[in-house]
Amino acid sequence: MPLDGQSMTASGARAGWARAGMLLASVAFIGALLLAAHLATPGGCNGGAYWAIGIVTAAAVALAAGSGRVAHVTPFVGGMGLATNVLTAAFLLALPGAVFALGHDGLAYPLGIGAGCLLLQLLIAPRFAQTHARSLPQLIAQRFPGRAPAILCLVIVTGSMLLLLVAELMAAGLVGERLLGADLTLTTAAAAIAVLACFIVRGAAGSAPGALLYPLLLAALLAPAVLVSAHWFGLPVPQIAFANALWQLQGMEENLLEQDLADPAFMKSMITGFLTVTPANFVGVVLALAAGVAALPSLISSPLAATPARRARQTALWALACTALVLTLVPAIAAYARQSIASLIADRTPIAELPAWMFTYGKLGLVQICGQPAHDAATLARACAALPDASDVLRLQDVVVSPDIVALALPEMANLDGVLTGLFAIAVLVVALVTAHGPLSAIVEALRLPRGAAGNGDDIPPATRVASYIVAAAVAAAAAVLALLRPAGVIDVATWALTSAAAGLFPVVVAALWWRRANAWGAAAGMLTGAALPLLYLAARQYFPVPLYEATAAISTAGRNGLEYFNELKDAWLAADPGAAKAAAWATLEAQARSSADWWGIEGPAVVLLALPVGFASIFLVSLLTGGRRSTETAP
Amino acid sequence: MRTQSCSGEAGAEAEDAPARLPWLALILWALLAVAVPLLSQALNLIDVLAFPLGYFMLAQGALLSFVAVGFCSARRQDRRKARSTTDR
Repeated sequence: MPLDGQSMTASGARAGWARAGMLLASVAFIGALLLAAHLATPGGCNGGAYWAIGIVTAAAVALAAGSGRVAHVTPFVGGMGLATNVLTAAFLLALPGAVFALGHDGLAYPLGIGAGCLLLQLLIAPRFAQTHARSLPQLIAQRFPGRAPAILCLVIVTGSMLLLLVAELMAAGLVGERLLGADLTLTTAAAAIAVLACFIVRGAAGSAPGALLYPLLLAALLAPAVLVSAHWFGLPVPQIAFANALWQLQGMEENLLEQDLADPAFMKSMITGFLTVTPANFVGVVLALAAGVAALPSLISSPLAATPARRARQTALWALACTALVLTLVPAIAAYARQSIASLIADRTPIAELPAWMFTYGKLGLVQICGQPAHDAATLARACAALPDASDVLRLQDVVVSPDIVALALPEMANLDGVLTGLFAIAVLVVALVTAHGPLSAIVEALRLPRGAAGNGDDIPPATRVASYIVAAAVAAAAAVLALLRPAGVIDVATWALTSAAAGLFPVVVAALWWRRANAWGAAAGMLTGAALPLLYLAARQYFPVPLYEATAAISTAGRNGLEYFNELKDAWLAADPGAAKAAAWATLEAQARSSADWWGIEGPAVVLLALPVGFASIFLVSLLTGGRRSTETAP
Repeated sequence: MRTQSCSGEAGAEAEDAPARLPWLALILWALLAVAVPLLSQALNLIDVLAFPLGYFMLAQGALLSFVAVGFCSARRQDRRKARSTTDR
């Protein structure tokens, strides 16, 4: 099977040279940025070299994918490519940090992604392969003709893929910032330009180029984990060896509590569950990620498209196996990082003797000690002495490490060779630049524009091609701006990308593939309710909590006591004198309503627990009610 | 359960019989993705490979089980398809 069902013709040689020229120009521009960054920050030479290697590798992969001729993609190769696109740089960088920060409750993230890969194999891949659609927007257009499903699909695909792109650029920008010591604006902008250049050069080539990167990302994650396991526990199998770290960490944290070196409210146990989220919200995050992966527009394309069901199933199975192998390393890396920091506290390390990595990341604002970025020991000593509950020694709650850098910093935390940090940084950077093609091309595809210039690009009118480049440039620019605003951590942004795909697209994709009677009206209703309900719920909780709580107090977890307290606060507000007193009473009432206005305690990404049933029910009911009118139109 | 194809060309379907819903695998998926997390604290009373079982299942066991379920389901579907091709 030709790659992505398309291969470049000999007559496209001129276009190939043009693309190579564009690529060289982009590399030269990025090189100039690199040089500027290096001149601005002497000493960042090694990091700059790693960054340059990452950029050049991504460019080479994009160029090979865009101009090369790949005769066959085996299920194994396709599976590795899919796994790379499932993991993305965002999850690769931030998953260990999520488990590090949340302990046991952070395991919902790797579990959800693994569950999503299996769901992709069982529900989506074999049937999608038989539809002859090449992408999710094409599937929706083919199965549900009409303007409403197309517009809703475009809106949801754009929203979810834009968020995923933001997460990718945040990861690439953060790695660039660490390597170059340069400003985040510069590194994020450079990453966005590189993503756009890769999109133009790579064109319609599918996710198979990601297969080249899977060994790199696996090695980058595996090497430090294996070395730490071997050095600390004498067993170079991190998936087993980290059991020792878990028990040692638990004992160490208990000692810290006994010695008053840790605040119980700050500690998130690695073994004891549901300290930060309820079981329902834990399952909600798992389902959000699972349904999001299964309905992710950047995955539902090549190599699952237009291929026998058996091959698609095997490709998805390999993707699941490759993803699971990486995900099993995540808890080990998190445990090693936690143990490393707990050891510093247990050893009562003086501020002046803190390891260099803390100051390296502290200068980037990613490690805070006593509430201050760890710039230098003297500033930190003053900050710690100024705390209201100042202590002679550092306590666990005094050291705050950004979850986004845990995986990147592990080699430095464990005193391993700096090359391992460089290797991981290269992997994140290359994966970010290469896999960002998926979200970008999904948006372009949803607009029914061609994806770049490769493949049968010679048949594409120049105006259409330019329009696709303009859309891609606008999306990349918007994503870069959003990434610079840093709306949340990398893991949160990536999770919301998958959550929005799950809520808006999963029911309609399942119905499109498995229920013959689903029609365009039902699909539109399913997408609209699935996407709108979470937005309305979250917006109402944030901006109109009082009316929301009053209307839905019966399904709130606050119970009768919460309602009584709310009524007391409301009476106090009604009785308050106009002016400052009334405003203060309203603020108290609103804060109480905001904490109580939860439907069955559902929060955050777990909102899919509401969206998925509503989406499926809408498709079912509306399709049945309108079956007579549109069924002939939407029948295959 | 007999399911029907939703889309695709008739010729292609004759060559590639429509995939069927793998109910058993989906039930196992639901058990691993939903039931195991809800029962993890109870499962922690048992130790396996020096891990509490509930933690082990969430960290690694469920992921390995996903692969096993996916592998068995794929083999089963391939075998069913081979049987139906032979019958035809």
